[in-house]
Amino acid sequence: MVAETEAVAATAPKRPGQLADFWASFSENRGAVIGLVFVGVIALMAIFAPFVAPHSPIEQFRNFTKLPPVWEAGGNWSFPLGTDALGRDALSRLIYGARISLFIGLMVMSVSIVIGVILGLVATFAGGVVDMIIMRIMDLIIAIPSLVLAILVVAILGPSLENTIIAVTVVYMPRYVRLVRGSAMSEIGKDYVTAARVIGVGTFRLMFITVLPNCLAPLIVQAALGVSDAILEAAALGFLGLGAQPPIPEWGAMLADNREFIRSNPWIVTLPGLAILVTVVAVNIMGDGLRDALDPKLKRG
Amino acid sequence: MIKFILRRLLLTIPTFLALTLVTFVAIRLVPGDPVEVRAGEHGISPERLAMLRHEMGLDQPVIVQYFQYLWQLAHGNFGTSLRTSGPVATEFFSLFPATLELAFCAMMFAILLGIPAGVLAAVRRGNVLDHGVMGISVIGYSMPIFWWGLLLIMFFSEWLNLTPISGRIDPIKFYFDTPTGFMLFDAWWSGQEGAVWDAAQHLILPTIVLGTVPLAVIARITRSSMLEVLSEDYVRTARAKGMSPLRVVGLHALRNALIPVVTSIGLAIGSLLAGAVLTETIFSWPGIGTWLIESINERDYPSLQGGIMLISSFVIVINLLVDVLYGAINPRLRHGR
Amino acid sequence: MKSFIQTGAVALFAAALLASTAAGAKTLVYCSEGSPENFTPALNTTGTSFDAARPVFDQLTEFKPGTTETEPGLAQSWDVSPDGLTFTFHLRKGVKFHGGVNGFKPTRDFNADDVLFSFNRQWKDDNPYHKISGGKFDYFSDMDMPASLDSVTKTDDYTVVMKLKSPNAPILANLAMDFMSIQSAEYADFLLKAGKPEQFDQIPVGTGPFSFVAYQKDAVIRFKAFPEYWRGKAKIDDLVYAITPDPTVRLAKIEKNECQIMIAPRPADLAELGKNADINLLHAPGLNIAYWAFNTTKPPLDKLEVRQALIQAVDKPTIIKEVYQGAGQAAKNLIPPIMWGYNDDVTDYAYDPAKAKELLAKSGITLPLEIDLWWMPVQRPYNPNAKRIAELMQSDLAKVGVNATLKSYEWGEYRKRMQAGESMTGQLGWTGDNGDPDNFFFLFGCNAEKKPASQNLAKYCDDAFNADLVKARGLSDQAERAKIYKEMQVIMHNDALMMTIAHSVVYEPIRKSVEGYKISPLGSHYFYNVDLK
Repeated sequence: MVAETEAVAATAPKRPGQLADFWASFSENRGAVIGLVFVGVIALMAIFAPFVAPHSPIEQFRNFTKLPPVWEAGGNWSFPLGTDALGRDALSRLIYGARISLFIGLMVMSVSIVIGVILGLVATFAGGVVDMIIMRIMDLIIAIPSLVLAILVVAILGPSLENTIIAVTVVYMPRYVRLVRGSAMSEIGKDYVTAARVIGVGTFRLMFITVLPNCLAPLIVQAALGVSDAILEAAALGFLGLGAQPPIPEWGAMLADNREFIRSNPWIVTLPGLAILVTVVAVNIMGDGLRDALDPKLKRG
Repeated sequence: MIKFILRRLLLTIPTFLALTLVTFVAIRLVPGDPVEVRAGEHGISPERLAMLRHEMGLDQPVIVQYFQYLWQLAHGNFGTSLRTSGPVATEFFSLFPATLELAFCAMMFAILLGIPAGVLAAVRRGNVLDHGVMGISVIGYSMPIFWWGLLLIMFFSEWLNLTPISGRIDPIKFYFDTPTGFMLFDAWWSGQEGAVWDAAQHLILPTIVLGTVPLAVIARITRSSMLEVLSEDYVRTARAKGMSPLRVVGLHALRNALIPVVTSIGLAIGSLLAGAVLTETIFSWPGIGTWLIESINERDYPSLQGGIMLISSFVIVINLLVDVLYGAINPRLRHGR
Repeated sequence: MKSFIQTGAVALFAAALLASTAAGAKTLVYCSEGSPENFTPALNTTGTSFDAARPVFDQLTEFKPGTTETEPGLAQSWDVSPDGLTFTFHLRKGVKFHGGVNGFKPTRDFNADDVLFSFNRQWKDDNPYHKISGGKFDYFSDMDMPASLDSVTKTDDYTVVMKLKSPNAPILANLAMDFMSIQSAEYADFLLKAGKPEQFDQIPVGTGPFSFVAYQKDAVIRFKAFPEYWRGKAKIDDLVYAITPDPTVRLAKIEKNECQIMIAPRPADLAELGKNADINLLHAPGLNIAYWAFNTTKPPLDKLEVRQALIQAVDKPTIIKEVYQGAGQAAKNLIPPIMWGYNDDVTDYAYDPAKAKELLAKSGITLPLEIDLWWMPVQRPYNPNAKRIAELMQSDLAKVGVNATLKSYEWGEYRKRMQAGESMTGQLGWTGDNGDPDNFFFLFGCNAEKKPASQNLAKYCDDAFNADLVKARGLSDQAERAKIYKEMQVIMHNDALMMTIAHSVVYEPIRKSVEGYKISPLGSHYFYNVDLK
């Protein structure tokens, strides 16, 4: 497709039926479709949490603490997946937790894309010192182990949901910058860009209208996989007690809060982790499908 | 070639300088007073506080503190830990072998399982085996490793009682000097019966936990790179000539397919160290990860600063080496990018 | 330096091992919680560090094992002048210091010089060791030693005279605390001459029942019984602290008999431990309090009705049941019932949301009331899970129209900000140091300027309360003091400064093979009397 777009893009970046093509090759991949369905279900659950969840995620049923799931002895159908140490319904907390995790993932991704596109394009088009400074800073961020950096940012800003998003964005943003710069660099020397320049297209238009659309394919793939990375990283922060604060039902924090019951009531610890895993796997196989569909070279291979 | 290496080396100097500035500023921004945090419920009197802050140089203007820090760094002094009053560099290097040992074992685990799995999946492309490997690999790199660690502890240590839950060796049964800090080696060197086995048992679960993500990544890269090589003309030719599939894969394809795998391993060191933070926390592994988290919790500025400096420098150096190696393999890279 | 210590220690330990295995040595392994900061108690504030140094040292007066009563230690007896200002200590003779540790051979017995050194190191700037190892002597200043001591002098080698500026009844108990451990002045000189004074706090030498052998950070501390101990050699030969931060691991170790005594089991695991036939689950009421303090300077918490309403809105029995899980008893007073002076006539505020609503309506404030509720980020002996308590409170408060925002900071920052009066309401607690009620009530006293002292989280300075506090401190008759403390408990109850949450119950599992071990109400661990069968 790279070669194809090159030819077409100079004149008309959009081609009718492109979306249909894409869908055709995406739906060929059974795993990807399953991933998409899962992501859809989780997203719907998150959006309609108040209607789906049997209880409020923060209501404490003091007479029903540490109840096991229904399939274990002593389970109760009003609490299908049991309750935690404070008597809160595990299923409801998991459903509302999906909101938190998806929200974090999407926020991190969108903010990173915006910053990544701007910095990446500026680095490409300004070149020289500006390019060097931006890229050195990105190198620097990448050199610090991601979780340590995220912890440091949270330590500075204080633990909260918003600051988790900021911390994870800081950690993952350099990838987007590098990616945009990398693909923009390879586009900038091509004929259609030179042609546009000769016609007298302004730099701003050149950046965002001419070049950017041709860098989108890898960016979309990175964005999908970036959502899952962000969910994992935020959960890790939550696990270390540095994420969303109580009573927000964040999956990582739920795991950490109940860690002491690993021996006596293992399911309280098991379920939130499983929720994280399922969500991240679904997003990842969907992302893989996206990549295969957008990158015919890999599809062929 | 030498010019290329020199240029890369020169480029790291501003990176280092920026690193000192960033860590210095960031750590000063962390709220909390390193003196205050040491007191218990008892608290500390304002006069004492002022005196201790003065002794630690914390009452100087920040800019003065920064240059003092640079001056010390230039003399190889990474500061003095507020917790233990020992030099930060000494503490770092006494704990670093533990992290390296774990990271090395995790990498070995990932390579030794990941490459064969990837090759197998590529050779048996499209059949159950391929789907199985790819499915497990997706789960692997989607794994929240802190949860994975807890699950493994629950299963192997608590229920089956097979592996120890934490630490590097049983300190009661075995007692020896640790000149290198690499427990497997030190255990062997001590000559105590059963020590190596005990150290190995302590390594098993943390190795699996830390190795899971790289294992998944390596398997995937090996598979796709192998598929690419297998479709190249010379492999097809070899096959057409009637060479046995095993020889084709083993002799010709694998060698070429491994180049991207090797680079990705080099680049994975950084993320491996990040994963080590969580793994060490779960298994109370006395390495850099636990130490850094403790330093943050206890506002041990010098340790935190020195620790981040040292570990980031390590990553920068590794990346530099990968770049140089890659440049040696692929001459096109040497000239500008 | 480190490798030197280790190598030396390895050789020593090997020798000790050889010597002892022949006689069928008894080794007691204690699963402790963390690494000590160093081995000089005067420099430290944490129980973990105190425990690590305790086998090595003695104090002038000592706590009888398992109690908060003091008994003679290195001071065989003492006289107190009638005005309560002069204490004359008669020191024990023939007490030996550990020999052969770190190359040090004591040439003399314990005497008054060691006592003076141990005071002066913490007290006097001109002591050569005052600044070594950070030079922080928090307990010495917290217990008001610099303010109360006038002079400490020796009249001869075995007599020390301590003069106070004002009468201070708890001081004999203070001297029994770890920070007043007696260290060797001769060892201090020896290291100073060798040019490595910092080793003084890393490789300890004392007169205690066990001498130091080796320490590996985050792994193990080794001691061996001191044959010439003045009370007689301990019944066990080797004492090992296995440093095991994770409670699950500690549990696994005691179940496998890899250690015989363990600290701090998790409440969630108590049931399992109770069922184990090889383990005795010892328990004792802790000398502590967990409370939820109201900052009386922040409206509307200056209104008594509001404070009372908050207390009655919270379901204390559920906190005891779900968070303490049996390892705690509901508290109605600041001091625990095992302490003398406890006022059992105080009736606790009952859990009564209806009454709480009524009180809030009466106070005239508009609902919903917005407050903040701080919780400590760490587990403390008196509070296993402040976060979970905060979540329970938050839910209870919502039902009476109070919206509580949960807040927490890193532990040091948390205390600092609370002491600065930043919070509206917040959890904290206290563990008694010496068994004297004064050690609890001073928390809510006033400072010299008639303002609430910084650790006074209610930011409350009541004249009657403070006058009582000062008066009781100056008396030496315990019955009289008890009467005053009982009154003070009534004042505190009526003023509703805080919700007293719980006194925790300390649990310590020991193997059935352990004999003679007693839980200390002070939270310390002491192994001299222990035997293994």
